[in-house]
Amino acid sequence: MKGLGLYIHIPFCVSKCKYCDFYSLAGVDQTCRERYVEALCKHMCDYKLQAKNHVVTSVYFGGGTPSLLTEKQLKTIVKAVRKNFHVSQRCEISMEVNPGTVDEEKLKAIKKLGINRLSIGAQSFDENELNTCGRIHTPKEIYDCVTQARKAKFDNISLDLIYGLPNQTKESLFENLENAFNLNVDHISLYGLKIEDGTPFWYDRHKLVLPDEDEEREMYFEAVEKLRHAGFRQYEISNFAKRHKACKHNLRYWNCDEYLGFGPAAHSYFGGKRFSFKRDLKLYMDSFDENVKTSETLLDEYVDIPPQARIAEYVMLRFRLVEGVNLAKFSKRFGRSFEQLYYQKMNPYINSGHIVKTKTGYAFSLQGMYVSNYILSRIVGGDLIIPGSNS
Amino acid sequence: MATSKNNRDLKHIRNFCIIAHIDHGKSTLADRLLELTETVQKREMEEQVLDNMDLERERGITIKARAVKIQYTYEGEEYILNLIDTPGHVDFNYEVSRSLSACEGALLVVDATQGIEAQTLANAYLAVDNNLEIIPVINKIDLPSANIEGTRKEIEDIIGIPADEAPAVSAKAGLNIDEVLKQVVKNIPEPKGDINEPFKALIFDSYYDSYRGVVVYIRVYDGRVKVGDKIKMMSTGVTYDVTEVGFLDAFGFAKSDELHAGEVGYITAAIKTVGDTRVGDTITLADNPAKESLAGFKKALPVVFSGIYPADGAKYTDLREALEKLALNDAALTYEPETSQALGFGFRCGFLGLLHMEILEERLEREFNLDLITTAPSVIYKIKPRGAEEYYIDNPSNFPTGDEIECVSEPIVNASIICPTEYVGSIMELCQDRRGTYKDMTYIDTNRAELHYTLPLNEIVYDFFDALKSKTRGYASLDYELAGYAPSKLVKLDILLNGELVDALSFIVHTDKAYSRARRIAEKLKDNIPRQLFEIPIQAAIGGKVIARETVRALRKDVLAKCYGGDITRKKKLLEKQKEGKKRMRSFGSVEVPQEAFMAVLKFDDES
Repeated sequence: MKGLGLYIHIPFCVSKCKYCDFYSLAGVDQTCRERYVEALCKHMCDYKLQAKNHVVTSVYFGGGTPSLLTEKQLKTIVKAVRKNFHVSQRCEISMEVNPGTVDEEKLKAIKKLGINRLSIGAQSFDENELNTCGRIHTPKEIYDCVTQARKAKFDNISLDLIYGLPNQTKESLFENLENAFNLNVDHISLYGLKIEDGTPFWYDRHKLVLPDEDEEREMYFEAVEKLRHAGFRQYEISNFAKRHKACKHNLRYWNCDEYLGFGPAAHSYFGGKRFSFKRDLKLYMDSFDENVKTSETLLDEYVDIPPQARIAEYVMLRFRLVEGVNLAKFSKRFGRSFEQLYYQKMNPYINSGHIVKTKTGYAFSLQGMYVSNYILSRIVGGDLIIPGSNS
Repeated sequence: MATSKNNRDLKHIRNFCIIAHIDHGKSTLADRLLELTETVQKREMEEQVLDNMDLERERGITIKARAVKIQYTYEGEEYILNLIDTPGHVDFNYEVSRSLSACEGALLVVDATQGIEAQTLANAYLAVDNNLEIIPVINKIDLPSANIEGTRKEIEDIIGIPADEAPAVSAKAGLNIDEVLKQVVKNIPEPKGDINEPFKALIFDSYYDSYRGVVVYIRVYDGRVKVGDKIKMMSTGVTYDVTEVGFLDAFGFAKSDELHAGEVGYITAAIKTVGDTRVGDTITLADNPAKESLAGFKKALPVVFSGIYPADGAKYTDLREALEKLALNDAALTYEPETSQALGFGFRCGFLGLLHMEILEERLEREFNLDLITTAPSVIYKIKPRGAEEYYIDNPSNFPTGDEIECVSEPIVNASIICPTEYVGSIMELCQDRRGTYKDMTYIDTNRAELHYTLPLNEIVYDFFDALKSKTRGYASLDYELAGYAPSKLVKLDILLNGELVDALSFIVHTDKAYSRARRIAEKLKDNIPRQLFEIPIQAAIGGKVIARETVRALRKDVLAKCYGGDITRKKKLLEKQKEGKKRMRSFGSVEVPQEAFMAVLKFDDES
């Protein structure tokens, strides 16, 4: 049996954060949410046959704000998962939670459903920084959330933090990290702020006082160091975990393993194809409602990945991991030698120290990781292009 | 369709061309003439019928000479008017003189809103030298700023030809076009020639057609030629069998039985390359040859040189084939293989001038789908080593270093610039800055002046045109001709990237300007070379001594922090895009240099 990950998108938020360009809507009412949960369940049912030989090893409730769903709604979805897929005994089931949207009781209920990992969207412990981002929670609510989660017996808790925020200094970032360390969480994701087109930050981009590139670089490099000291091993560009607490679900992405995504804007990699659904909640719900006739396709993109591009994607994604490309795993998977394929292209970057030879293969150094796009585009960029696809 | 025999007496033939400064409406007037005589039906008119190349239409210029036969009835009699189109730009002067020699008369078009310009004068003098009857035509009278009487006076005062009867027309609006045709018939002399003498014709143009072989445009002076005749090129003695003769109308080839004295038309004779049909050569019949050949033309010699390299080294063969094809129809284009350490295999190409160069490069990119890297244009320098023979170089890389040089000379041009008087000051400043020597200035009228300078060609081939245009808001016009060599204090300026010399960026500059140019080039390169994994020092040096330096900072951050929800498409697109961008880069050692950086070095703008 092959492994499989499920991503379940919950596109609801209390309000939109200023940096966010994920597909999510504020102000969606309960009736609509009910209808959405129904659609999700039907959608999963569609894959029952196709995934009958797969065993689900990770489920991820992402958003949006999955914690906005009621206990009952979540239960319905979890039941549908178990009904339509073989779920492994040791399946990691993660859920994104925003501080201020849950209490101890709700967290206990969530735990009872089998959800065993929480990813808490803290972003910052600084009141001003939180306000700047348009986050609706206070620093105190982060503490409360983690404390309550512990009481609810969650033993795998992750915090999301952002560096490079407007007006953020190295000092305030490191204070955020200290706060996270003090909460004794198991996992930290530290993302660099990127001003995405069309977000409120983008419209205000000329007014924002952002750290300059040197400060930003120092923030990252020093943060990595601090995280290491605090017992968080970096395993991916932006992810740090205590022993055995790396996120299994996200690792699937970086290992080029299969996953199915449900919901508008959700992405899948299944049967050698990459596909995604349109960023359109109404269309999504209509598509699974037998009372509504829709002729429009829900598919956004659908690309059959040819062998050469599969290898290139694998290299691109594996290089996000600190472990990099494992030579034995590579040749087992593709029946070809990684070194034969890529050594020549990697050579200048090995010489310059951006790529290092490890015991098992090749990986980016931290310096290399921070300019990984530049290097990867020169190593695999050309092979990623799939003729005839508009993606 | 063939013309009936009785029309083909010399009395009813007029051979003429149109000469003008660029943008004065030459091609539009040609269009109107064709339209009025119904050579082209109005509904079939495209603008600039004679300009077949897309490039010509887009830029509004005529590059190659062409000939069209027009039928026109005047006072009940039918005439054949052969219109030979000519380019207006100074780069293509040789094309103009070729066309002129096939005519008895010329229409000199002058824009009534601009008056006489540098190339109007140059072209008018060419016509006078060729003993042509000149009919001035005052164009663009529909524009509010048109000054018909002023223009008339300018023509009389400056060129010295009567203009009281010059037709005042608007080619654009189609005003008074008939008057032009009338004057062509009335004032331009009929061609001379004897149909009974041995066949003698002048080649004034030729081009390669993939179906017909070389198509040769000729003006017949004596005798006649028909299909099946064995013709002989008088310069080489090579013979061919004529396979087709005819005229050109606005749609292309119109076969005919024969061409005879006084006529203008084409012949084909299964000729493989244009090289075999030297423009200016005389054609006669093999079995009844003419006694002596006609006076030909000087071969147009390239004066500006540039290295042309494929951006993708693997496209070298494609580039060679493209150059071969273009050279088939462009006798003035020269190319020789050259190797650059920086750019690999390419060609050193010779051009008549900057416009010629630009057009050729654009045609290579457009018609042959090539991505090119071109080096800074160079002229031919004369090097005199101590105690040795002097020699010429057209590639800065070959510029000698050290003390063994006795003297370096550079080509000089006589330049004439016509401009509104208010710009005289800034033009003098510009010419001075470009190492010009003032000769004299005359006032055309109270508003306009003509300046004469000698200037090093080296200074003109960079951005002199652009600078002239921007300093005079486009009101100045320039014409120049080569005027020999003059000794000069020249040095080779080398560019080093990351400590390595990039030979393709070397250029030759006057000592006095070396410092400022070096600084500017270093700055330009800095702005055009994207940041890379390492800091890249840019140095400009003369003989190993660094005189300017800039640094491209190292890339600080290039990473996608989040690969959310398995959406890897975004990351892929990013990498693909970077990869695409990289295609247009050349690697020098560990440094990647985009094509734009090479282009930027070619322009020394903002020098004020």
